[in-house]
Amino acid sequence: MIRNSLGEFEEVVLLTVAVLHEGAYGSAITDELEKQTGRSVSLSAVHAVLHRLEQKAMLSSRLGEATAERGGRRKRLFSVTVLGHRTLQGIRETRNRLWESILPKTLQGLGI
Amino acid sequence: MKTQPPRWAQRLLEYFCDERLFEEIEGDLQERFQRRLNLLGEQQARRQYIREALGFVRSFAFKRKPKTSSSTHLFSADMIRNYFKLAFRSLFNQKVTSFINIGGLAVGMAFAILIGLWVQYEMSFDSFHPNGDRIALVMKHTLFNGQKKSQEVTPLPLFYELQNNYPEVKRISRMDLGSQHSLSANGNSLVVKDGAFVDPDFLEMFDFPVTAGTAKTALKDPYSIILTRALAKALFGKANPIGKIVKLDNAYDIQVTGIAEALPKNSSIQFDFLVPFEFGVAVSDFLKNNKTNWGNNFLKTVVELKEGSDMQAFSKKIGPLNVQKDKSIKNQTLFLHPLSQWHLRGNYVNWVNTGGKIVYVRLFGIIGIVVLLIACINFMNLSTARSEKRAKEVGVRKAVGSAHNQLVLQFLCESVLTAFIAFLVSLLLIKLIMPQLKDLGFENVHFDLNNFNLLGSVLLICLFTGVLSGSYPAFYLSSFKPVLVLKGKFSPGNRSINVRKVLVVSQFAVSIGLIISTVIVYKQISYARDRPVGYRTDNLISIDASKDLTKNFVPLKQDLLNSGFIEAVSKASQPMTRIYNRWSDFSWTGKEPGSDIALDALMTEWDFEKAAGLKFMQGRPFSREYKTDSNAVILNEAALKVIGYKDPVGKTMRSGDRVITIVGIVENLILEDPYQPVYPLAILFNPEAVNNIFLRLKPGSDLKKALAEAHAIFKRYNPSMPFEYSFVDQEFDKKFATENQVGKLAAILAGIAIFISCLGLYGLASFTAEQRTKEMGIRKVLGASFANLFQILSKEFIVLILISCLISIPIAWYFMNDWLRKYYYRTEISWWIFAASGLGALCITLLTVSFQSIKAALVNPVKSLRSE
Repeated sequence: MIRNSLGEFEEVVLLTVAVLHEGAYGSAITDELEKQTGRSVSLSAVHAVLHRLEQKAMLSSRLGEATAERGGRRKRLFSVTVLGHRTLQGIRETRNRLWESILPKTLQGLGI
Repeated sequence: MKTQPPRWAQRLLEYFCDERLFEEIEGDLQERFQRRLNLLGEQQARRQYIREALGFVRSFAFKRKPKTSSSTHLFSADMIRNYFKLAFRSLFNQKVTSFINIGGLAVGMAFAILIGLWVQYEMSFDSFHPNGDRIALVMKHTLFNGQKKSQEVTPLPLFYELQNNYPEVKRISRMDLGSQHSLSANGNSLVVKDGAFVDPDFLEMFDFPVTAGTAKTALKDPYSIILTRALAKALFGKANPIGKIVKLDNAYDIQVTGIAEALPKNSSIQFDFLVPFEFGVAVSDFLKNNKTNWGNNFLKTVVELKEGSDMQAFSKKIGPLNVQKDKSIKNQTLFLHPLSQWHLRGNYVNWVNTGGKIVYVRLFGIIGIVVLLIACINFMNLSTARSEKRAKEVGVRKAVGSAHNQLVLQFLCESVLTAFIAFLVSLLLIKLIMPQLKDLGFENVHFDLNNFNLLGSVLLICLFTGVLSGSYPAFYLSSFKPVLVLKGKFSPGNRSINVRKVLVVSQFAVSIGLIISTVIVYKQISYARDRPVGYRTDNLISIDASKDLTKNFVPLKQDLLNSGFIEAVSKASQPMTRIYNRWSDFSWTGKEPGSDIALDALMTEWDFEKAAGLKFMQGRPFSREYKTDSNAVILNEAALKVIGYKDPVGKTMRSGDRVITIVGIVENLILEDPYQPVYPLAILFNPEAVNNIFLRLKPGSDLKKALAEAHAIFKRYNPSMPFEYSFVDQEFDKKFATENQVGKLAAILAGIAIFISCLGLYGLASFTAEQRTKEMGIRKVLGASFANLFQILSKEFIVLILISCLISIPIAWYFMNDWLRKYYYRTEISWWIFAASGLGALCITLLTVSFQSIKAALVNPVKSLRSE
């Protein structure tokens, strides 16, 4: 299976990690996603995707500091790897190409 | 107190969640819980926590098996190959040690396997009869002359009584086994030793392979005979023998109705032919006359009980049968002796079954295992002794990441490999040794490599040996601390040295014990051999008498004497090595009324004393000059003692109603068991009762010529029968067969044990000598003499051997004393046996050790001290 294909949710999570930059960990990513999309996102789904992305080598992680409100548990902080970055770039270029290929009048009916 | 999320949800998460993910997940959950606690209140926060926690019940978060790459490989193909590679290398590196290990183990295994096979063979006796567990021999306990005896023979009417009146009996047969007969047919005639007279039931009780003819009907007609295949071939050649006529004992024509295939060797019952017992009844007046006589015991009776009958209960039930049937019989109890006990548990002492051959089977089984253990001990000792050398190896291995388990496996691999090579060598040894053991009870033991069960169990023994001998070194060596070992501060502790010493002591204790036992067995045999026999066994030939020989005895005797080779000829009612008659109808003045005392009765005529070489203490032999000698009797010492006459010659006693006069007293004759007291014997004058003819050769005459001459003369008077003879001294020697066998086997095993022990000791000595090379060099430089050094190197081992002596002597004494007790006529266990055995062991040890000691003591100190 080709590993560098991404699902929609995976792509969004990967982008969110990039958005949060230094502070990307499970709970923060979930909150940010909810804020950005307006949909309710389940924490476990995010964790599952993070885990999968890390296995696909698109994310790397390190353990951060422990805080009191976390019950003394450490965060796992994620950052996008070069591969992740390239994959996102690839997706974006594909989209852009597609957008540019659309004839100007085609989408007018939709009121954009 | 701070509000906490629900414990159970946390626990659940902890239970299923992989620990590497647990921390971050639980942290996130906590963080969100705390935030919601402030925003939504406790209840909501808890509910949300539970929901989110349960959300993690999905595959990515589950606990995983630890990845194999993160721990050590124990059993991967590479590692196993590596274990064996290392094992081979260490075998090749240490050639002497490997040789000692493999050699010792191979010898130990070879004998353990051989003894195992022998034990298996002995245990398999009589086990091939499907109904075997319901078959038993009727025996009887008697009290006679104040002695409690158990006999196999029973009276004839017992057969009819059990057959007709006891519903528990399913089948029953009389057995008259092992009688000598002549058979002739088709122009061939021969004498067979194992003729058997049985009832038709016999063939259905026992599972002997009768082909050609059916087991059910082959013995129905009294005038029928079943031949063994070999006998049929000897008589009829290739022709079909069924239906043909055979002449038995040159008198009776009987018809062949069946052929028995070769009998299994592991059968207690062996026969050359089977004839219905009813045939015997038809032709023998003796049997006809004894049909209702409960007092004459001469017959074996064997029964098969109905399914579900209790053998013990039945044994009790028939107990008093003889006494009930004949009021004059006293102190007799019948009992059943089960088939399964015939071969191994045939001895009764004081009416109690005391085992029999099973004692030897057990004994040698144990010794076999012990010999194998001794070989294992060698391996352990040498491995631990070399531990100092290998300590560094272990240290390095551990330092580069070898796990304890891997080292254990590696060392076990080494020992299993050694054991396996030893096993292959032992197979070779077995092939070589097997033929040498033929006369030691191994003639019917076979080692068949196609027998997978056997091969499997033998391989199992091999594996077991390897693991057993490798376990101690494996755990000991692999437990070294790498830091200590590599720093060079390691010294194999006292513990391992002590263990080694204990093992050496136990090895030698066993070996010395075996040597002592062997010496005692041989001493007992030679003691019994040196016992005065009472007649001269040398130059005495015994010939079984036939009808023709008895009829022509007078001219036969004359011709034999005229031949010039023969000194004396006589005839008797029995051979010199067995008792045929034991009569209880003797009486004399002063005999206590009602006392049950029987005397052996030997019937003979003139010149018996010359032929047998009797030694007279008082009186004279039978003489032609005295007409009254037809009613004369000669007693042996034991009989005189029983009768108690002061001045016996000329006095009279009675045999039944017949008055007989004592004419002489002879020294005790050993006719039966040379280990038992001699039974009272009466030698009666009766020229009619003839079973054997005795010839005494002139001393110094050419044996071959004498036999050829005798053969010609016998042929003249007995043309229909082949000339069969036996030497009395050889027959007499057969009485020592069991003891000889035991003695030889014990000697071999003792030799093996001491050999293997010495092999190990040699290895140990060479090791210590090597270890102490520098010390010896320094001592030499400082002025120690050769003798000093020799003493220093040997002392340690001498002490060990002395301790072994101290341990083994009382144990050997105890067991051999017990063994000797079963012999009435037995040798003393004198102190010199122990002294000699100990000294012998010490000498062997010194010889073994001294080679190494001398070598070490002779080394030039310059050489041993030069290098560091």
